[in-house]
Amino acid sequence: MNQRDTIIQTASSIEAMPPLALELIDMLQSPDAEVGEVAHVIAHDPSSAANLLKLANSAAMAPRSPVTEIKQAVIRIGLQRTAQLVLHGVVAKHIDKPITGYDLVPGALWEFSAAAAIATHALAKANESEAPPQAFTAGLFQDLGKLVLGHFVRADGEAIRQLAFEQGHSFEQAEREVLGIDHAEVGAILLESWGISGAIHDAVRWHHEPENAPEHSQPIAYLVHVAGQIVNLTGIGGGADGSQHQPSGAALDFLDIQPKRVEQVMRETLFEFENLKSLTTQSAGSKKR
Amino acid sequence: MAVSKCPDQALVTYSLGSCVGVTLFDPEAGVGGMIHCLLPVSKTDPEKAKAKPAMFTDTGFVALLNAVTAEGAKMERLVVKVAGGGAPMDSAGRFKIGERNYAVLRKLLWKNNLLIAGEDVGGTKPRTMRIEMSTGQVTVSSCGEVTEL
Repeated sequence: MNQRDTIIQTASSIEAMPPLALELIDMLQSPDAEVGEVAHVIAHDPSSAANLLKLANSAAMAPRSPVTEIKQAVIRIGLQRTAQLVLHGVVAKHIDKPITGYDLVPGALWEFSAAAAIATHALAKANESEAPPQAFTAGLFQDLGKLVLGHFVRADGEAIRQLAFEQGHSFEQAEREVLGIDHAEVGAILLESWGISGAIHDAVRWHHEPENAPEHSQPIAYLVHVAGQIVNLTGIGGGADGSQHQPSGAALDFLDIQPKRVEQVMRETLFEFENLKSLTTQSAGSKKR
Repeated sequence: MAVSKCPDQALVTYSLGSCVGVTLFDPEAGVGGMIHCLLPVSKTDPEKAKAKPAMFTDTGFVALLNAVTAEGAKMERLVVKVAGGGAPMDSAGRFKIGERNYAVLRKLLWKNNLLIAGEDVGGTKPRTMRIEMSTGQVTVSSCGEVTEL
């Protein structure tokens, strides 16, 4: 078995994201999501439900009377913020590991992922449009492949770094040359094994070469690609690959990326990310980096 | 932003992408500080800059300067070192944040008669910057290598 096959086999055996989380993520991104429906799903996840109630009753939310029902908590916190809180609790637990091959400390992959998800919306807003509902999840999941590939990148780190930083190949190209596969393809294999397909899968698979995504998924792939590039620049959840990624001209043109717009998106992403962190810290007592 | 005059301490900032990391150190007073600025100018969002001045290079650098001098550092003795200001590969100037962060910083240093004693800026590498308060030694770690500025 060659290394590529070993990596694919490893990806297929990774523990799945809890189905409840996936259901919730889909539901919360839908423009038709209803408070009652969302509350019903959250009520089945004791940890998320407890965190939500704790937050709804926190001093920052200043409730006039104690919030005891999940539905009341969702109304008080708001659907979007509820989504972020739930994603923090469920996804963070899943990806809150150090990934030594990429020099990612515990929590760094989640930080990058959360900020990239936020940046997809900030980018769409800067273009005076709304991000398609799948963009947030695709942004969040774009670097999941690093969970698997980190182990292999660690073993061959020197060869990959040399190709990337000494010879000027993009980091993902260096991964392909040394390991036979890159983290984008590995991430897509992970999603397939969890039953996630369509635009979310396509955008993750092609987040470094969005022009190669199937045509119907390209707008989301473009958003996810540029969001990732911008978050890399902020250094949030940054790792060994730094900014050694090739921006896609097609994506930059499609989203009319200019320095002022990048600055606007970066600013909005940073502040929204800080809000998310403070929100989840209040709720779950999470660590600070 | 962090300021210290405790020789047992080291100040560290991680993951400098397009952000600029700046250290100031007065070797005689043993006072130093570090800042990690993400965005070039505060006028793009004065309200947010008021809440978090350290996030912007212009307001952040001034805040750092004020903080180290308040702790006893003298302007004429300050040693300035800079790292970061990176950009993605071949982006045809469409990101430029790192370049702008660095340009704003240079302008402020010039206005305050301060020179850069050591720097590691630009490019795509991730950087971690560290200053030892006992000596003022500043190092940048990147891709497994540690370089003294």
